[in-house]
Amino acid sequence: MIRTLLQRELKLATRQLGGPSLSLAFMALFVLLCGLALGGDSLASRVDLGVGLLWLAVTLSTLLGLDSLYQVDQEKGVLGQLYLAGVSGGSIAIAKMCVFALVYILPLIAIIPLLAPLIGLDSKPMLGVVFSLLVGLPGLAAYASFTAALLSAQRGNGVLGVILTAPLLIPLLIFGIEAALVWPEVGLGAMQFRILAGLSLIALAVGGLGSIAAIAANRGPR
Amino acid sequence: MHFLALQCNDSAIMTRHSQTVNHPNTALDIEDLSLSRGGHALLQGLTLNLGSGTVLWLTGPNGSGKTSLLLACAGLLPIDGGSITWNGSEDPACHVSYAAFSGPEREGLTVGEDLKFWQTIHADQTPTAERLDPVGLKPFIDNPVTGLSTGQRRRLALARLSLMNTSIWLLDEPLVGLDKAGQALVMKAVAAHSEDGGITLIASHQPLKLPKITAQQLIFEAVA
Repeated sequence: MIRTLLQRELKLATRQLGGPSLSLAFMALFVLLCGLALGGDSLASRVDLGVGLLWLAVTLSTLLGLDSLYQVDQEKGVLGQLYLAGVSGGSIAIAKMCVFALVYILPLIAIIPLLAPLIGLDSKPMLGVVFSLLVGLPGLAAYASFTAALLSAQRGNGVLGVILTAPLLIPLLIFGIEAALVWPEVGLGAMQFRILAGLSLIALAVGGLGSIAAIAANRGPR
Repeated sequence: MHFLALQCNDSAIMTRHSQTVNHPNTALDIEDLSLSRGGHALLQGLTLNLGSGTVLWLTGPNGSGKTSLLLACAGLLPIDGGSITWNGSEDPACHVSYAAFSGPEREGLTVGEDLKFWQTIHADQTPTAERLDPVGLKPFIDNPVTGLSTGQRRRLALARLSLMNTSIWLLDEPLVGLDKAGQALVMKAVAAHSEDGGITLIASHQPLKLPKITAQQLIFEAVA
């Protein structure tokens, strides 16, 4: 069942790349503007600033893609039809989260090596950011799914989605940045990485269960 | 009390041969149902016990609650009071097919891909082309859903209905946008479903021309 849902989500997501490319463009622009505003030299001397900026850029760009995740399926009655077919909300949420992580968030992480020079970030802390984001990825996707499912019956929910999800992401953001900063010295075994992984798993549980409840609440028309 | 008159034409159930009936014990039981939408009370104290083979035609002016009743019967609209049971079960899943006025087909998929998805979900083994052929959409199997006309989307909805092996059908304005041949297809499918023992609720402003069977009629009155 999940495979069928995954295949369909992937097909739809890869054919309608407007959303993901918008997130990518936003992130590139955000980092570029930060580089210009704060000055490449001053950023180069402050590794922690560069790391924080990249984490912030990825989380904000992730939130941009939120509203497309469940909204169309809610509007078209797909969620209702899946419910009548006996498909569990859990299967739907897992498929949505996987595809969101794959199509929206991973490309954002993938262009970090291209953007890091713009803010004068060396390859070592840059890799730290990439690894910490990969550990935080399940959490990001889960919270994104939760908010998107919650707001799926509201039109024009983009900004509200950002406002609701952002507070949930604060712990991931704090420990994500900390983990990225200690990675060059301590590596993946660092306490910060373990805490980040824990937070990510908590997010997966909370966001997953929340998504299931939100899907059930929004399966009917508005 | 805002509704309703129930006209019972007792010829609704045709003679059936029990060995060919797929849904012999179908029952949709609505007890003391109250419904409202957007703060407006639509139905109060509706009790309906529908048995195998029933076709119920919901008519009445716009906004009188026909679609809301169908949604409630699909478990997609919270009810204010009373209860609905589907074949004795309190969960509509796998008992009910609901064809909304605009379907769940997704832009971005082809007609074949979209139907195939629902076939897989409903464990229907029939080749997709064979499902599309009776509704006249076989030549469009590789076309994107985006290009379909209203009538063709209705035909796709009919194809979707045919692949779900459910006993209770809820159809919201299934005839709108369809040509004569398309309307005849819907009526034929409903009649066949009834002869198969299934229950069909149809909200429609157009009269139903069902072959061989007569629909019962539930007339909604305008909500003040």
